[in-house]
Amino acid sequence: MQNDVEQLVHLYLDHEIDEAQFQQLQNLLHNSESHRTTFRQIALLHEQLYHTAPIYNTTPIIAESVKPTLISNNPTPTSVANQRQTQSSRSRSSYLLLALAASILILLLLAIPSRNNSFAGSEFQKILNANSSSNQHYKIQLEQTGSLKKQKTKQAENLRPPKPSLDAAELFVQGTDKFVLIRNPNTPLAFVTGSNGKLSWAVAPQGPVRRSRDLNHFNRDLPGHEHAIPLVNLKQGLQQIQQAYNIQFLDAEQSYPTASDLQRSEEALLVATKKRGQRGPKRIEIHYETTTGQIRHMRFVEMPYGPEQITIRLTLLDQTSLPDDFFEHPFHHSSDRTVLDETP
Amino acid sequence: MVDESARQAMRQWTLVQPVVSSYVGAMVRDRSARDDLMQEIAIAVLESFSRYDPQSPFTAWTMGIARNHIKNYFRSISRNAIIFDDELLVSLADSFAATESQELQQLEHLQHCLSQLDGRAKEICHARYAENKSPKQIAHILDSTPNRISKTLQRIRERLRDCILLQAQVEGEK
Repeated sequence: MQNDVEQLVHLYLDHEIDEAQFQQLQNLLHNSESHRTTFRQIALLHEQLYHTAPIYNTTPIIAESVKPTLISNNPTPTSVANQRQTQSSRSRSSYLLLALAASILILLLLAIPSRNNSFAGSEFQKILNANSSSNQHYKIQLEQTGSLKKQKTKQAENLRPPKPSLDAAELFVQGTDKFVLIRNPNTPLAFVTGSNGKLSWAVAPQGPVRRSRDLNHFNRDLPGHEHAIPLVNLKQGLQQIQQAYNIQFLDAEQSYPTASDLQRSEEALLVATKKRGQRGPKRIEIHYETTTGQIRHMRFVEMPYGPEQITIRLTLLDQTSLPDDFFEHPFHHSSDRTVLDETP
Repeated sequence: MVDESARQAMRQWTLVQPVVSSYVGAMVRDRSARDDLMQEIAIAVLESFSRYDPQSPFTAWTMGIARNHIKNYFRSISRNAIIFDDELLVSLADSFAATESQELQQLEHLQHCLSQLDGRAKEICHARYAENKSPKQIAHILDSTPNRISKTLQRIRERLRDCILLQAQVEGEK
């Protein structure tokens, strides 16, 4: 019994516990003070590790090697100022050096944005190429949710019934307009929405199946639809990011040390921060493989979603092929369900 | 100028902070939310210190404040999130409030014990705690499974716990 508690506490602290196990942990903790003491002891060590491990010098797997290689589309004032300062101190010795320094500065000012733009362009193209042709199967994790500060009570969005939670939902995407979003997957309350590129549709746990020729009719359940960051259309999404966001690329490459069973990994991070006056998530993070452009996971921070503002993470689970009719609604419900056409 | 009351509050807060921090971190596993909460709790403790009755244990009083902040936070997040019920929030707060100073002192051996880990264990530990990566993320990088990484982390913590107790025992015998 003691071992059970310890194992469950470890799973809980590592975010690896499932609902049934968590319920079991709660029951055990309710019933025994000694179990609560065990929980406390492990939690104290767990917390202390957060404070001690960072100062204990070891080779990190990834994070410490993440270093900015290219910054936003515009060069930062501080970096240019630093260059200016360095160059001007050297220039004191002669006018020639000053002229040279000034020339270099001008060249840098002219060259950096174009280099950034061309680098950003090639990275976007790489990501697009790697991710738009195959099936993408993502798991969605809801990291945080909160209400939007300014709610317009009469907005149609607010009059609709609450959306099922996106947490643990699964999203399948193919091409530019086919998707299936399954909320509460593997439960009797599974709520499926999707589009085959010609029809959009929704299969609720009960009631009729609804479909429409308006492809946007059921995509309001898809995170990002409000502000044209369509997850199902990567090309359009990346274009929108390039226009409305400041882009930063972080390079995270790290050779693993000697241990033979560790793999080398190369991963880069695209961080897009919303420009002032633009709509959409406050920040978008896309982790992708530097060599292939394959997206590993994406994070949307403070994204408007109905009356809420949510932070979600999409982790790529696999790219395996799907049945031909997977994006058709009959695939997701029994044949005796009534189908209503809501085409306007 | 910092008055005597504020100084007293800060002194007391510094003493209980590790326990409160562990409690909040165990209840709210999202590290950034936990950090925000700790700031709010610290401010609330300092601001309401004038209402603290010195006859009662300071740790328990602070844990009460922490508990209320956690409850408010739980109300703001998804109902599907894995969170402890109110009753357990209270009984676990009591358990943390009963932490003995000896238990905290023993944790000072942690740094030495970390140095005793082998290379792979050190890396996994660093990824989990210094880089704040989940077992899933670590598994992805190391081409392993989250379950295996989670088990490894459990064994690492158990080894560290044994090492800490052994060090404490050795120190006690000196």
